[in-house]
Amino acid sequence: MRERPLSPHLQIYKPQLTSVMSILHRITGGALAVGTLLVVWGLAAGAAGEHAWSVFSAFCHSSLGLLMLFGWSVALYYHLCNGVRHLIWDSVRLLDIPGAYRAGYAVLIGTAFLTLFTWWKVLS
Amino acid sequence: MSGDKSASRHWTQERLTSLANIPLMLWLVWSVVRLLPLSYGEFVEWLREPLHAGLMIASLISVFYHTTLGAQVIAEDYIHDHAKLKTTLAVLRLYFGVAGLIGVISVLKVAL
Repeated sequence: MRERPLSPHLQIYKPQLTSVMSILHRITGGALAVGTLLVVWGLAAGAAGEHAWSVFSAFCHSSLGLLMLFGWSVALYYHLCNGVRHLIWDSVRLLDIPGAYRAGYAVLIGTAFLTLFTWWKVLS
Repeated sequence: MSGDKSASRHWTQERLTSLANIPLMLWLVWSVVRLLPLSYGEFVEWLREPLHAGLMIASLISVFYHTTLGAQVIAEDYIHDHAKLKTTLAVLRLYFGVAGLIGVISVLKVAL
C-alpha cells in the first residue's frame, strides 16, 4: 500500500508562548498533585509525633527536599497566575491574540515575582 | 462520556474551587515556607491556632477537590477505553480523597 500523506502534527509547529503556556498549565497541575502530598506528609508527621516530624523536617532541609519545595512553589504560583488568566478568559476578556500574549507575559512576570519574593523572605 | 449536566457541573466546580484556591494557596505556600525552620513544638503551637487549623482544612478540601477535577480532565483526554477510564477515575477519586482525608484528620488530631 502506498504511504498516505499525514497531516502536520505537534513536532512540525514552532512552539509559541500561548501553546507552551497551555501545556505548562497541565504539567504544573500534575506536578502539584504530587507535590501537595508533601504537605499531607508534613501534617501527618506532625500528628504522629516528634520523631516523625524530625524525619519530615530533615527531608525538607535536604537538597532534594528544598529543590522539591522550590519546584512546588514555582509550579503553584504559575498554575495560580495562569489559572487567573483562564478565569479572565472565561469572562470573555483578553481572548484576542494580543490579549492572550499580554496576559501570558503578565503570568510569567507574576510567577517570577511571587517565587523570588517568597524565597527572599525565607532566606532573609 | 459524561452527560451535559455532569459536564457543566464539573466546569462550575472547577472554577469555584479555583477561586477558593487563590487566597487559600497563597496562604498555604507562605505558611509552608515560613514553617520550614520551626521546631516540632513551634509547629504544633502554630497549628493549634483555630484560624490556622481552619484555613489548613479548607485548603486541603479545596485543593484536593480541584486536583481530582483536573486529573479527571487529563484522564479523559488520554484514556479512550470506557471501562479503563471508569476505573482510572475511581482510583483517582479514592487516591486524592484519602490524601485529603489524612491531611484533615492530622490537623484535627493536632488542633483538638
